[in-house]
Amino acid sequence: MDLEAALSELAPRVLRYCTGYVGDRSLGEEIAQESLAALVKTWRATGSPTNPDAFVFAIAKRRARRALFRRNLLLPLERVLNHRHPGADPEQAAVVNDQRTRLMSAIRRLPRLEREAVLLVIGDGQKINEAADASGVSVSAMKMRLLRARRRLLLLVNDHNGR
Amino acid sequence: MDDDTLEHDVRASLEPEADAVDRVVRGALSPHRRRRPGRRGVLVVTGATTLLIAAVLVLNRGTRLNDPIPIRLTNIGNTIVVKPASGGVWLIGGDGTNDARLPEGTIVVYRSGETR
Repeated sequence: MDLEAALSELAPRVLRYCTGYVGDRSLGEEIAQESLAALVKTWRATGSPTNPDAFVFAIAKRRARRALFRRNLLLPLERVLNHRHPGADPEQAAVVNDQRTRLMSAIRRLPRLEREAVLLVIGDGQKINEAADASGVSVSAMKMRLLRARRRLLLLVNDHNGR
Repeated sequence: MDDDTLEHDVRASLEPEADAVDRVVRGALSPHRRRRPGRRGVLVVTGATTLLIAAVLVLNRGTRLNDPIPIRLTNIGNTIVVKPASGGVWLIGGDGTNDARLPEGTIVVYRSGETR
């Protein structure tokens, strides 16, 4: 497989993962691009990594975590500087009511490990054992995470619908 | 909502737009990709800020040390030498005998400025 083909195959998958992880399309796109750029750099310097999928997803996961940490760190400062308004304007309210955004918000509210399980298994379509390998846990632990995540997601979505 | 519907909706909500995928691929392949400041950049900025704060503190301390001391008291034997910054020298005690001692609890009051 050549580099361009690998990128075309990986880009939508890593984009889904990053967007779901951070709950922000623009930030997700930026992280996905950085992760793929790291693959391009390595590929051009030393050839294809043994497992390009694992390579890219490991970088994406690390960068997404850092990005979330930075965002949470700066959030109070942005609020003080009035860059983020607590009240939603009509446009924002319309966006929030959108089904896609609502589900993304629910995914974003899942605990980190459960969110990873959802993004790898449901979002990326990986098998349970592949997702377990990627996360460095046993298959049963991954099944448990996924089960809990499904329950929690249903609660979050139904709770929003019932409001 | 059941499990199947949930999975379908989750996949649909995460599905990226074709434009976004194109942008990501082009951006990753581009040699002129805009880079965010990395860890090295953050370290440089943090180091520079720390140095600046340290320099300000040192300079501030040096300035305080160079401030004129309003009065200097020196004890030589049984004599107290008082040297105000305004000039002059006062001697307290020291009548020339070894037995002469200032009474305990002697207080030297220094007042600057004009008396009205």
